[in-house]
Amino acid sequence: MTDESPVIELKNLTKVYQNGVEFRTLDNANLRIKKGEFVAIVGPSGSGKSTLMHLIGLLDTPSSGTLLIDGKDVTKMSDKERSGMRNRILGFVFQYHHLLPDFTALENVMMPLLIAGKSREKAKDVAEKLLKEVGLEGRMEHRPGELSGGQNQRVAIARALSCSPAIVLGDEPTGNLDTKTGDMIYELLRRLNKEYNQTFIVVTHNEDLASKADIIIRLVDGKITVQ
Amino acid sequence: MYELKIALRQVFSSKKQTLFAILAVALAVSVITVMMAMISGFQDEVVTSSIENNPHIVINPQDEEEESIHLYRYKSALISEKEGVIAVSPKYLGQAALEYRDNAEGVYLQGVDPMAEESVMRVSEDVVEGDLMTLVHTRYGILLGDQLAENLEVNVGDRVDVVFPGSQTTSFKVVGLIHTGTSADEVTAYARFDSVQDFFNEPGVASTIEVRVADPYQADAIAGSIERETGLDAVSWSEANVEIFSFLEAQAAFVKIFYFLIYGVAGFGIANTLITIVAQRTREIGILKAMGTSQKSIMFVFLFQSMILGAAGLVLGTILGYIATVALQSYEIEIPPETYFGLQTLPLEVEPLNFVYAAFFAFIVNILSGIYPARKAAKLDPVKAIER
Ligand SMILES: Nc1ncnc2c1ncn2[C@@H]1O[C@H](COP(=O)(O)OP(=O)(O)O)[C@@H](O)[C@H]1O
Ligand SMILES: [Mg+2]
Repeated sequence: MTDESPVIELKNLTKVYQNGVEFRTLDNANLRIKKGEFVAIVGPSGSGKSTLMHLIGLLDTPSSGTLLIDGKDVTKMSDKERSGMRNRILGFVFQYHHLLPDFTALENVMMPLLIAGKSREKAKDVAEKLLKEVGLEGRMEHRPGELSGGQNQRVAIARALSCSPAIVLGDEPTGNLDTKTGDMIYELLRRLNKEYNQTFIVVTHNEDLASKADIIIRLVDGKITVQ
Repeated sequence: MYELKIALRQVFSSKKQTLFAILAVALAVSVITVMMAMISGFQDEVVTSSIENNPHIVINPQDEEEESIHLYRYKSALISEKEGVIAVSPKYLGQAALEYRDNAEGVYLQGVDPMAEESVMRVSEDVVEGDLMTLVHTRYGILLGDQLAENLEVNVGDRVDVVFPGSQTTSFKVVGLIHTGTSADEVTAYARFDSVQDFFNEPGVASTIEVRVADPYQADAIAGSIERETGLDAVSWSEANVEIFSFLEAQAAFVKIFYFLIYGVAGFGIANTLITIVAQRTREIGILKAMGTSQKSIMFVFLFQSMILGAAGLVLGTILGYIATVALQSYEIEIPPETYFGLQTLPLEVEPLNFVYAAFFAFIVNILSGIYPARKAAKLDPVKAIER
């Protein structure tokens, strides 16, 4: 069992912004997350939640400290290695759906697979299956402009899952949706997490929802406390 | 090649930028192809007319002091034996005055053997009235440039007096008129070799020997070998027109600077379009990076866009350039007369290789101008790009 070796490990991870004065957005964060865990991140606005997500998602680089993903130090990797990991190991769902506007729902979900070098046929198969799973079988040929916010967010989830990533990151994925749709999306995420044993890290303001997570991480002024 | 797919999709969805970028390239390519057609048409015409209107080789006496060629019959025979030489015409040239009633004009009198002169210079092509061959049986016949005849107010059949100090004034009958379209028409007069020799009291000598060769581009080599064998001074047509050819070379260099500037302007147009596209697509670049697109692939996405714009532009440009060239060809632009060898209209030459060059350089310029915006896109910070 590899259960004990963490899929994500933060050692004194720090992000500092220098705008005349030094600003510690993330301050000496230490954290271990195991495979298959559902992690909720909560905290007031400006506390550093997005910064933490961007660091784990390899979209940003820390000022100091170490970040291990799958046991590998990702802070020293080249752009090619980091983009490869973003593609294969990580799936990102943002607050606003962030789909490519010129492509249909199906093409958006296929894109990470094409980036990974999969054939069109294979990508299409996987994307169709995932879109069915999130309940959008009738909307595959629609472009983001022709879909509602909740539908787009479901497309974004399907896209985040398309390369079967080990880690799925959601930065307030329901922040922009009404409560009912938001709850539906969370149900979906929780179900997928159970089904595929992927690690989920989700930023949320919904305490009710956070309470159902395996681990709750609280962020205040860049400092982490784990519950 | 998902990069190409994204590039295509993005190019076709930014219609306005796409249109203007394509038009910028198309305009540059078409202007350049038309200019190339003018330049190569002009150069060809200058070369052709200097080959046609000049003897391929002119042979002069060796020394400055010596004014004429002795033993010209023997030397002409020797030269006509040479390989590549197809005709030889010894001539006696002199300046004199022509008088008709109260009119007098200075002339450049050419004493020629009509047959030989015809085979070297194809004079008959310019004879508009009468016949050069009349000279064969008319000892005191003369052909005049049509402008000269008009100035003297003489017609074919009239008799004119040739006057030169120390020579016996001799009466010649006008047997023909010549029109070359150049200023030579005001001063040229052809008469028989022996009559002109006699008139100038110089029997048995020639002032020059003119040679026609089979391949004008061999004229230099043949002239060299004539010099070595006869000890005379032989000048090829290209040597005689050296100023014109160096002018053409200077012109070509000058025109290249123009091409460079036009391509530069088009290149900035493309770069500007791509910078705009990159700015508009910033968020999408961030999304692509979050999905795992590497910097290299992002670069390709935008380089492909610049290539697509460039390819469309150069196809359109070569078509427009071709149409414009053909249209200008049939329009026949007038140029001031007597500028160059009697060129009356600006000739345009449709040279397929020129289109290839223009298109090739346009494509290179496109790729070069795509590099900066593509690199900019590749280096975008994904966090900032996404949060926009
Ligand atoms: N590029 C930046 N430059 C300076 N400060 C920044 C930058 N990005 C984020 N911050 C600051 O870092 C803090 C944490 O931001 P963020 O991680 O977005 O918080 P949250 O997602 O919890 O609302 C905020 O105070 C924000 O102003
Ligand atoms: Mg945030």
